[in-house]
Amino acid sequence: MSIFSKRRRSSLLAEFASPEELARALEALRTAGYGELETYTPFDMPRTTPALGLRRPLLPWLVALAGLAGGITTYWIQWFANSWSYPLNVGGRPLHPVPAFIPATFEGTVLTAALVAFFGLFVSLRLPALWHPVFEIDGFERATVDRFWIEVGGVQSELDARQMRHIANEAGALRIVPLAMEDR
Amino acid sequence: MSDELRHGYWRSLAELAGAAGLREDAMREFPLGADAPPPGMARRTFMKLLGASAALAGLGACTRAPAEKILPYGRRMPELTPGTPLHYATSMVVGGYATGLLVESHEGRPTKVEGNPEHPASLGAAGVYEQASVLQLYDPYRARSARDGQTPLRWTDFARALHTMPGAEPGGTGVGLHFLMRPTSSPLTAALIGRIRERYPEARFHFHAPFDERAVAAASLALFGDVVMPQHDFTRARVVLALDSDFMGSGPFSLRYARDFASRRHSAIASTSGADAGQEMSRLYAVEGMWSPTGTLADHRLRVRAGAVASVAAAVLREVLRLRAGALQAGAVDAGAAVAGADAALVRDALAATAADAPAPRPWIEALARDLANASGSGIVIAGADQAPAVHALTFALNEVLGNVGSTVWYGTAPIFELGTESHDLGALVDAMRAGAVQTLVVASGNPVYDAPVDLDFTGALKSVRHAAYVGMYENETAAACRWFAPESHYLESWGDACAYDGTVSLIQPLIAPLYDTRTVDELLAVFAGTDGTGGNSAHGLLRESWRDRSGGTFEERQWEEMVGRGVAPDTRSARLSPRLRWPAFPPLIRATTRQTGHIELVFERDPRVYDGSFANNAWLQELPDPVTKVTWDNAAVLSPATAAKLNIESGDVIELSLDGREQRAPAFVLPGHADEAITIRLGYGREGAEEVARGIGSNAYRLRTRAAPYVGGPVEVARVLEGGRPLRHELATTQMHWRLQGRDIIRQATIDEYRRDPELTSAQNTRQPSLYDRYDYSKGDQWAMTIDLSKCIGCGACTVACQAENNIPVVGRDGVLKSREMHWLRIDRYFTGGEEDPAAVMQPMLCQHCEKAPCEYVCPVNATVHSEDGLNEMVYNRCVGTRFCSNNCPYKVRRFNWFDYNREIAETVKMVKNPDVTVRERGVMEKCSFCVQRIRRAQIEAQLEGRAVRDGEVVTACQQACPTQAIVFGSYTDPASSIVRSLSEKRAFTVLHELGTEPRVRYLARITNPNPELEERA
Amino acid sequence: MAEPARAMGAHDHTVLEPYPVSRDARDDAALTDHLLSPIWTRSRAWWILFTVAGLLTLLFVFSATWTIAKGIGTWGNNIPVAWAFAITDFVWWIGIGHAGTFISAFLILLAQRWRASVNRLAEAMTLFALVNAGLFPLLHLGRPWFFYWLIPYPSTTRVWPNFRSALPWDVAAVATYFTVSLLFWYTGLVPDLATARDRAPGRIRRMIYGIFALGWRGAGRQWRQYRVVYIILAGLATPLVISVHSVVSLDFSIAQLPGWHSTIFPPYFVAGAIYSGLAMVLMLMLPVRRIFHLEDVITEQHLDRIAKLILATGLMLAYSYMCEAFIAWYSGDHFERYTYLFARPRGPYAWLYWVMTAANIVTPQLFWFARLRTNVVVLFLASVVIWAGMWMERFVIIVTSLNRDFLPSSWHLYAPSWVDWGLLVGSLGVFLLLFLAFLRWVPFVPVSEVKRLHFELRREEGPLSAGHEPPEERAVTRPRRVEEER
Repeated sequence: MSIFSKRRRSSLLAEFASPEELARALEALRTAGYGELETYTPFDMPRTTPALGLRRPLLPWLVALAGLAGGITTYWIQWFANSWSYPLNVGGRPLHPVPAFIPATFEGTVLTAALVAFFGLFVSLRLPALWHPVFEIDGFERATVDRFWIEVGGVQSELDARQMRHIANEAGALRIVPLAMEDR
Repeated sequence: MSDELRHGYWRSLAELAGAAGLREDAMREFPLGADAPPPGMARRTFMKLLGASAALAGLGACTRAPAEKILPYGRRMPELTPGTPLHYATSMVVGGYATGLLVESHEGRPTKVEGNPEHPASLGAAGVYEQASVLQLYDPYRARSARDGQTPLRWTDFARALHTMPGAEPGGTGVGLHFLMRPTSSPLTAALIGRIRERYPEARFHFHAPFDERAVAAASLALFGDVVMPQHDFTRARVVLALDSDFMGSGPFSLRYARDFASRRHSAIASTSGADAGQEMSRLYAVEGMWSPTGTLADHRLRVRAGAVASVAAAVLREVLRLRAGALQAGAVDAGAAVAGADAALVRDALAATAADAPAPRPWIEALARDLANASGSGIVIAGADQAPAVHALTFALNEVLGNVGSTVWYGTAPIFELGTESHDLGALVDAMRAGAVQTLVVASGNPVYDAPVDLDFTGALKSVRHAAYVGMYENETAAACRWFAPESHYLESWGDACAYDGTVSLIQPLIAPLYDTRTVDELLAVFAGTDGTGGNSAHGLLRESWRDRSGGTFEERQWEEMVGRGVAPDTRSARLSPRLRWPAFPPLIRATTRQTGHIELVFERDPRVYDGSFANNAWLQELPDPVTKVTWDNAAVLSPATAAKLNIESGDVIELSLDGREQRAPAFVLPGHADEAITIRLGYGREGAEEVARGIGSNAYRLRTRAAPYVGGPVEVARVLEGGRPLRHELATTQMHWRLQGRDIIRQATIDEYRRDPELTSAQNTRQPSLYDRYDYSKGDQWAMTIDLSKCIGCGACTVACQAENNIPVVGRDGVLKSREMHWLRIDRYFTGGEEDPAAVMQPMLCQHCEKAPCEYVCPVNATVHSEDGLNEMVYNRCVGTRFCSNNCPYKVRRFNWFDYNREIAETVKMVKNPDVTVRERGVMEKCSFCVQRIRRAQIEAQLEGRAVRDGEVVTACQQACPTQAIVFGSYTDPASSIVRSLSEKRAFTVLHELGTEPRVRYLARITNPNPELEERA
Repeated sequence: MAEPARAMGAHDHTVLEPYPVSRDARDDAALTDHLLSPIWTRSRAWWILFTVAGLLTLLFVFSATWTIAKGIGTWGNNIPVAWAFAITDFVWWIGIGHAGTFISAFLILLAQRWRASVNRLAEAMTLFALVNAGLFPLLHLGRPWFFYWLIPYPSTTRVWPNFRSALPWDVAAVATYFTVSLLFWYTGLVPDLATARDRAPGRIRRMIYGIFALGWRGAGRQWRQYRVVYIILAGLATPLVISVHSVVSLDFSIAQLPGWHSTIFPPYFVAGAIYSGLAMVLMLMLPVRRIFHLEDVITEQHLDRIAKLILATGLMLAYSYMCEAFIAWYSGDHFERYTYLFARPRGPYAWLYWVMTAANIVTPQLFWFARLRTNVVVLFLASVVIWAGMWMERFVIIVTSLNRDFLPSSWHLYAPSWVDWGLLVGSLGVFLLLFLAFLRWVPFVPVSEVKRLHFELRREEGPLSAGHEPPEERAVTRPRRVEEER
């Protein structure tokens, strides 16, 4: 039976023993025009990122905005509490002591920014997701230890598949595993 | 609760019934006591139980007015409005003399004592004892029930029992019936005694108090042929010589004298800043061994041990006479004032002999004599009651020679009943007891077993008396030695009368019905006076009766109400006498002075806090720092640095004093400015009775006090007590560890001449500091401020106790003070200036300065301390979380922290003393002086209701009210006519730590002294 | 591909650096197992230590309960010394916390590779130190049950915290610091948790680690996002290192007390904080390194670098001490002079002052000598001395300023009670307890980071390591394999 159908798209995964091989295969596949590439590596390999063809992340801007908002809110809270809602003569100090409000404002900025960054990370990665199809591949658990995987998605035809296998083997793939998954 | 009550109730009864030992043990379970934090859990629970029993017995009294009609101060009878306190006039008797008081009563519950402005001994001020007396009323350790042996009795049964005693049987002649009382000035008591003497001709009365005026009496009897008391007018005194006399700090008229002395001094200082440098400032010379409050204010203090005062006085008189003689030849003065010819030689010799070894520099004596002579007619020489007859004789002579008698000094009849007669000699009684002549001894108040001269062995003699009955407020040492005991009423539960020092008859009316089954001494005497056999007739009845008798029947209800309402009987002051001084009697009298030199003498003094021990159970007084040593919860053997060095003693070393073969241990305290070769020890400590607060505190110096040497004993042997080769130590709980100014500009002082030359001397310290912030508008409405005049403060501590009473300030106990956790909102800092041997002392009351730029406020994270529109630094207790940052940032360190829950575990009765207008603080919150905000708000509300502004003098803070010298002025500076404005605008005003820019609302007035130019380099 | 290689900062260190940052020869699998082994294996020694820590923790709990039940009166504090042990402990613990963030955040921005193997341990120390630091201010309140009044929660009373006071700043600073450190730490932990998940013996552990790993699969997309966020968090945490102890120092310097009221405090405190923290890092790292045989991944280079940092911060501290004293003298202000020139060096606590000076100023001077910087024994002893010395410094600052302030009449000494000691010693127990738990259940050497470091090192060792030709493109020859089909 064919693994290809209308509703389901399939991908092939290739396992490598070293980062170098992974890098080579990745380059080759890219030049061969495979679009939907993904890697699974035990550690971060920044140099391979461009090959995945990703857009520049929005998160940093989000974080910046959050920080700004956090800062403003914190300052507002202090101003509201001490200068507006219940102004008190405290030691003859001014009712709106700007310098005194700075430290908390700074902390507020950092805190909100950090929270948005942290949760932004997992939201944007759709984590936590304790199950993922790739986990079904036996031996895949070594992807967090010493094995390096490439996933080639959107393989539409046997031809594509064969070519992909060829390139992967050229690069020294230990094995190649087809994987069918729900259309995301 | 009611269960617990019943439990507590029965338990306390059971104890009364139980064996003495058992009771003692149970009692020992008590915590530090009335108003003090309890150390342990077991104690707390027991405390609760007993407190509860007290509640059952007495709490009802909260709303229970006395049965008889008592009369509020003022013309009309206002109805009692709940929440509005009423003031009643009454009097407190200390040492036999009355001081008029106004007592604040909340819903029939006395909470605060003030002075009675109409009373000559008070003029509105109230001393330490008076202020603290209200706590004694609620003292949970007061005796609650009469007893025969261990069997509880009702008072009436006790009265019946008295009549069965030999000598006291109805119809008997009173053979073998003896009464031992405290010296009294009460006309009522005198009348009752008279009646008893009619009924029992053979009955004998004896009077004993550890401090009396027998020396004065003896001297005046010898010189004037009559027992008269010297009276003084300090408002007209230009030169004052105090011979070991603390006339401002202690003694029957001290409040009045302090007021008079200070007012004259102040008017002189104030007038200098004005155009006229007119009124002459008075000059005070003090000759004393131990620092007295009076001594701290002296312009010249001669450091002389008590035993040598006589010789100094003699030297002065001698010098004065020489000057006089000179003047005589010049015919300048009338011969009458000087000594008449024939006696002159005798007197001169006597003086020569006595003055021989006067330990005073000659120039000092001469300068003083000249000063006194120049101030002839406007000077005062005053001697301490505890000094020997010789000193009083010399004093009489000096005033006579200086022509002061008749102007600033005069004499009045002694108000004390039978003063100077045999009945005031305890020895006579003891002899009778030994001889078995005493079948029945009725001891009415006092505590002879504890405070009688040790060589009399009163306790031993008492064993030979078969029927000994004691009436007193506590189951004290004497009670323990007597088979019969009955509890005495507190004066706030009593009807009665007594004389002030000047003879003015003062009324005592109760503020509350007796909390327990108690009676007054007069009611006890009435039992024998036998109007009816049961003592049923109340003191109230007796009092009215005696007044009716006195006024010869023409005594109307209205007069009575008037009199009781004001607390003073009109025109009862004793007449001014000027008895002729009989010079022939003079020489032998002063020769009699025993002069001892070359050894260490031991001086016995009354304690400024517990008096002779009768106030020892008062936690407020125990925690009040001694005016000069600042020691609390203890007495000490005080000695000078030089003497200490010679004996190789340090403060806190336990030393053993042996006098005439008797030993007593006491902790040493080294005090700069104390006389050398002398040790001063305060009496009234080392109690062993059932007064749990006092029990075991300090050292009982009565054990060394003999009949022959009641005030100055010697030679005394001093030895450090060693334990395991190491000196035994006893840490004294003092509230001030450092007494140098460290070169800091905290206190400003100047002589009057310097001040006249440069009135601007403090100008650098009373201006506003530059600031980055614009100032809040403090120009409208009331703006509260205070000034404290350092020229007036004698450090007596009345303000501290008054504050404690007014503001529900807890007591922390000895441990607390040792840890520096005392809670007083107002403390009195004492600094010494000059050398360690002979320094000058200066007192500085320190309280919240209510800074406009308060450092405590801006560091509080929860806005628990903020500023009010009328310039108060407000403390919001229920907002405080207790970070204590405010205390750290307070440069005056006047903030106090509730380290424990001081108010939770106190006895029910003690809760009754709390001022309902002031929050009782919880554990973990800060507190501090509030300028008596409750009084401010009350006044403002009244003013608002009447649609007017608060008047000057309408708000009086507790400390201000109590201050005898009126050193404290308080008010709103927005009222240009107010006294505070006058005071603030005095040139010598300054703020403490001005350089910090805290802008305090409290200003101090620089201390102005008036040293004798001749001696200035010494001053 | 050359740019990224440079951007990686993968240039040669050997000239400046006598010691390798790692000399571990294991392959990735072996390395992984080596680094994870502590969390799979049990040891008696650990249990003993854990029990001791537990007992000390009980002491802390008891002392704290006693305090809350009876009141602050159970401590030695008094008026004038209203702050003492508790605040000293607070400042001390917070200071210790700083080193962790400093190492993990500061150094990543400076692309310091040696942080790789030690950052997690250091960060853990930060967190646990902060846990203690957070406890003391709470216990220290007179009415701890109202601590939340320092937080501007919406309340009907409309009575708010006073933000003019430094204490609410403190609350904000410490809370932020703890949160950010925790997030940063956990973020760094996720990939290793995944590794632990995939290496875990037995189903339960796999599940537990699996849950905490949140389903991390090391996908390129994940790594990219992860990288971005990790740097951002580092960027946010770094200013906190500076700000937190600055704010803490303001607790003192906004007061007008001589000895507190000083503008040099913020930098002075920060330097001191990192100083004490690094000392404690060494105290923890040296034994761990030895016990778990990590000499290959935590090399002399690490020790050497930390020692140098200690020397540097130590010198800053020395400067601050001198500056303080000089300014006090130069100001001519009576009170300042008294505090700095008399009360401290000659007053009742002089001995403490001098011990402190010796410990904090003299000790670090050892590290001028290269050999001592890598001598484990010297390092350990020195860091213990500094660690204790810095506690004394805080005590001296707080107590000797308070016990003799403006009016001599209110001067009074301070003596700690058993509760004060109980809390101090107990807090050590709390820390140890948490730290031991951490060693036992969390991969305390960042596995993936170390593997990555090795990967980079391997590349650099290659002939063309100059970087113009990315090593990925080196030809790798392998026997072809028959592909498998399913």
